[in-house]
Formats: sequence, C-alpha cells, structure tokens
Amino acid sequence: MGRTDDGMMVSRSRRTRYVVLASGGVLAAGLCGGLVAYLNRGLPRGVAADAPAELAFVPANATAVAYADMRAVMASEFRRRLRRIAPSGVDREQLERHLGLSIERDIDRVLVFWAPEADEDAAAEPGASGLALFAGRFDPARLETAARGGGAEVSEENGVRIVSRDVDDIGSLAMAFLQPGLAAVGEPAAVRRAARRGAGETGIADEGMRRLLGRVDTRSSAWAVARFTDSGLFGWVPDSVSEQLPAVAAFAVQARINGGLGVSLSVEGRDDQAAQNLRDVVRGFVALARLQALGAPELQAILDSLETGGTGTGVTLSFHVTAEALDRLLSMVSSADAP
Amino acid sequence: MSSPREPRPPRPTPTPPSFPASVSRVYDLAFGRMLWSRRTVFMALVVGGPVAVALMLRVLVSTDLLDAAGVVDGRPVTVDGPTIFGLMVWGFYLSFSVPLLGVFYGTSLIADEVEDKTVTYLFTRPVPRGAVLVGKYLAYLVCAGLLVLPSVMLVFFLVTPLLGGSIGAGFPDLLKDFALLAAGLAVYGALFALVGAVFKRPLLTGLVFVFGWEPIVLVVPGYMKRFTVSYYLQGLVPHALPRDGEVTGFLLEALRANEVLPSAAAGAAGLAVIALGGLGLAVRLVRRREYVLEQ
Repeated sequence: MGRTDDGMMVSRSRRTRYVVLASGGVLAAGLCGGLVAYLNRGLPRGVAADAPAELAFVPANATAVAYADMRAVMASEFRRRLRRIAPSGVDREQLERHLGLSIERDIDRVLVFWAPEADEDAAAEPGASGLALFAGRFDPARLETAARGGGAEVSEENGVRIVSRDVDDIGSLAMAFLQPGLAAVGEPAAVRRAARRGAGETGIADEGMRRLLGRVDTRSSAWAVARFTDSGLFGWVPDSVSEQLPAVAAFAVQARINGGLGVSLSVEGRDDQAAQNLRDVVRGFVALARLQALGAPELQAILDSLETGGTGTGVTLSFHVTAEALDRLLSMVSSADAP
Repeated sequence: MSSPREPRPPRPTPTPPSFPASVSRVYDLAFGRMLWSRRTVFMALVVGGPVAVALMLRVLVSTDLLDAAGVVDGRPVTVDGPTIFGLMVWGFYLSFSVPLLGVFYGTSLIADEVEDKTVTYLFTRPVPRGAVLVGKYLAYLVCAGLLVLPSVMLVFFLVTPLLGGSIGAGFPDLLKDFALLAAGLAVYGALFALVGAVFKRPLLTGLVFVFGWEPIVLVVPGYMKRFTVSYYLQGLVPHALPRDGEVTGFLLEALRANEVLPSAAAGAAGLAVIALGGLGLAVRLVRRREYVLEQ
C-alpha cells in the first residue's frame, strides 16, 4: 500500500484514510455527544416529553407520587359502566351550588405526593409533607367565601392566600392556589411549605424516583410510583406493615382506562434474590386465582390476560379487563348486592 | 598499485520480522484491500438498512403517524425510543448483520487467497503463516467495526430520543451495545476464519450455520443450542437491552421460555472460548496445512 509510484494505490490509500476518518469521526462525535447528554441528563425517558406540569411542585426529596388524569377517567366508558351500579356518594348538585365546582367538568388532573420532611422544614415547621394538587378551572373567591362561611381562617405565605380550617375526624385542612388553576390541598404546614417552595426548577432529585418516573407512560390515565426509604414507604407506614414488605424497594403502577381497564405494575426488589422470591409469590397467587376462577368465566378472561415477569431485581405484573369482562363482573356484583 | 580486490563479505541474512511486526504488515496490506472490496460495498448496504428504517421511524413519529401506545394480548404496551433501539440492535445487528459480516469476511481470510491463487505469494514472504491470518483477522475487525459501529451510532441518535426517550439516559446502553457488537464481530470472525481454513466451500458452510443451524437449534429444547454463538450472545443481551418496558419483558420472557438464556458470566466465557479457540485452531491449521493450488 505504500507504493508512491503507483497513482492508483496512492489514491486508494487516501480514500481509505478518508473513510477511516469519516467513520471514526461519526463514532467520536456520537460518543462525545452521548457523554455530554449523559452528564447533563434531565428527567429520565418517558417523563420529560409530556409529564404533567404539576410535577414541578413536587419537592426534590419526594418518595411517592400519584397522578390521575381526571378528565380521561371521568369521560371513560369504564367509569360510566361503573356508575351504573355504584353511584358516587358525593352530592354533585349541592357541591356545584355551594362551591361552583363540578368534579366531572372542572378538575382536569390530580397529583398527590409524599415527601419526608427535609431537616430545614422540620426545624421551621414540623408536620406532614403530603399534598394533593388539583389542576382545573376554579373560582378561588367563591371557594374562599364558602370556606370562611364554614369558619375557615385565611393567612398568607409568600404572597399566596391560604385558607385553613379544622375538619371533624380529619384535623386541620388547608387549601391554597399556588398558581391560577392549580389548587393545593393538605395539612396547613404542608400547604405553607408548598407556597414557600413554589415551582421547583430542579424537580425530583432522587435517582431512584427519577428512574421510577421514567417507567411511567405519562399518557396513562392514572399512575403512581413510590420508593421505600430507610424509614418505610412514606415514613409513616406502620412498622408492622413495613416489616411485611422487606423485599420491595420501589414500585410503579399505571392504568389505562377506556372501555376497559389495563393495569401494569412494576416492582423493584431489594436484590435479585428478593425479586425472585416476589416473582415466585406472585406466580403462586396467580396460579391459586386461576384455580379459584375455574367456575367463574367472568374472572377467567381477566386471569387469562394476567402476565407476570421481570428480570434481575424487577418484577412485573399486568392485566387487562375488557369492556365485556367488566360488564360480566359488574352484573355479578350487582346480582350479589340485590336483596 | 592497488591491492587485489578482496571478496565482498556475504550479506547478512535479514532478520525476519517478529510476529507482531508481521501481523502489523499484513494488517496494513489487507485493510485497504478489504475496505474497497465488493463485499464491503454489499455490507455497507446491509448496515445502511437499519439507518434507513430509523430515519423512517423518525419521520413517522415526528408527523404523528406512529403512536407508541397500544394493546398486545389485551395488555397495555408502550414502546419508547430506547426500547425500539434495543430491539433494533438485537434484531438488525446482533441477529443479522454481525453474523453476516463474520461469514463474509471470516471465511474469506484464507479461502480468497487460495481461490485467487495468491496464497503462495503471501506464504513465501518472510512472515510467519499464522501472522498472515491474525493480521487479516485484525483488518476484518477494524473494517467491520468501521461499518457497523457508525451505523449503530446513527440509529441511536435517530431512534432513542423518540417517544419520550432520552439520549443521556440511554447512553450507557449504547456503550453496552457497542461492547456486545464488538464481541459478536470478534467471535463470528474467529469462528468463520476457522471454517475458512478447514472447508473448501466455507461461505456456504458459514451461511448454513448462521441462517440454518443457529435459528433452528435455538428453539429446540436440549443442550444443542450450546453449539451456537447466538446462545452465548443472548446471555449478554438482557444486559444491553433497556430493562424497562413491556416489549423488552415480552422478549426476555420469550427467550426464557425457550431456555436459551445463559448467565452473563457463562455467555462471556463461552464467547471467549469460541473466539480464542477458533482463531487459535485456524492459525494452527494454516501453519501446518499444505495448500495445493488447482491449476
């Protein structure tokens, strides 16, 4: 190849060099670009593109987040079928008359999170850190007037008006509009902290939680992710319950609701052995359920769609309830309830 | 008066180059020839296919003609960019392009020289015969790597960001895939270098092995699948595919159902044995074999 007196060979050698440079260039540029993207990666896949905007209000140390697309759920055929046999206990007309709020029409999304107290929060104002965020169309003045009429007090935190009152059996409850169309409801301390914090720029910091969120299809009608911390699931789950779940490190569950219901659960075990044990337990339950359902065709279809799996520390379980199976189930339930 | 001319001392016999130097010289010679062969043009088209598919996917997704969500067997299934990329690496590259590259190049390392009757010129050079094979094998590795890896890189950047995927989060998977592809190229190349040294019609033998023996044996229960390269490669596949996602779950379940998943350590050990054993045996054969060229 080094024959300089041969024009063709020199030309080929040069072309070879160009090919090597071009190929190597693509590889080097790709590796550099990928490395830069890796070092500056934001929320994991599946979350960044169309994640609910309310996630920005979730504190960085959150250990559990649940979300429901209320519009999709309310408009679903699944709910309509469900309501035929189980009407909601809420007096919707009264609610609309007093508060100007229709649960079906005015609430678009609900996001609930739980975060252990950060040290600085605990020092400033000890209390729970769970909060529910409702996104939709509200009339803040009317809601505040109604609350004040019921004996609520109004305070202000970081320019946000917080309405709080004592509710029988529940304790103190507070509500605030963190931004137009976004209501936060929870214990007064948690609402005040949310008002102080505002929309965070960094989002959830914990890598495990970010990975869990990455597993969620944000187009699901509802989903929930949670990670067990050293102090249990949310820090408040009783030890007696936590002790029963030593093998679970985290879980993500999501549901798609339309005519039927599709549910997918993904559990992360503490280690490979724990996950294997979980898989065995789940398969055992599924086998038992199949045996029990032999005489019940309405359950058979659901169990047939039930799939378990997972590798390493992962355990997965999913099932789908078709509209027909749901009809059969509901008719079974209603006939059992009939006198 | 000049003294009568003294006889010139005999020229010292040049020392033959060492084995690594010989390998390097053969590599220099073989690389250019390999890169500009018709075989390479064909393989460039083969590895260009996935890039075209990735480009098409990109267009379909960006024009909202493709949705990632659906229902398979009554279950909700969501496919994101990293999952598609993982499946493309498994389907297009590991199962097709890499074995094909191994067959085409590996079998030709010695067989082409025999067929072209140029093996005499190579073996009469002052380089060890084994160095000829090893040098050409290294040239194959670099040449195949230059074809496959940029193609995978382009597919990664085209597909991974789709449907909520993230290039940053998927980057570690890309590195694992590169390692897996390099291992596949090395193992298939070594195996088919041996085939090329043993058989008279090595290309046909190689194609039968890759597209006949391997796919059939893999789905047949029993120990026979241990005599395939795919078996050991698939042992490493779950560690390269994205762990999340229903589709990956289906794939892994399908593999497990066929009992074709060895552990990662067993997979790596199996691949190392095939690569080193194949190349070592091929070198030994080439060193000892007497090639009689047909006139």
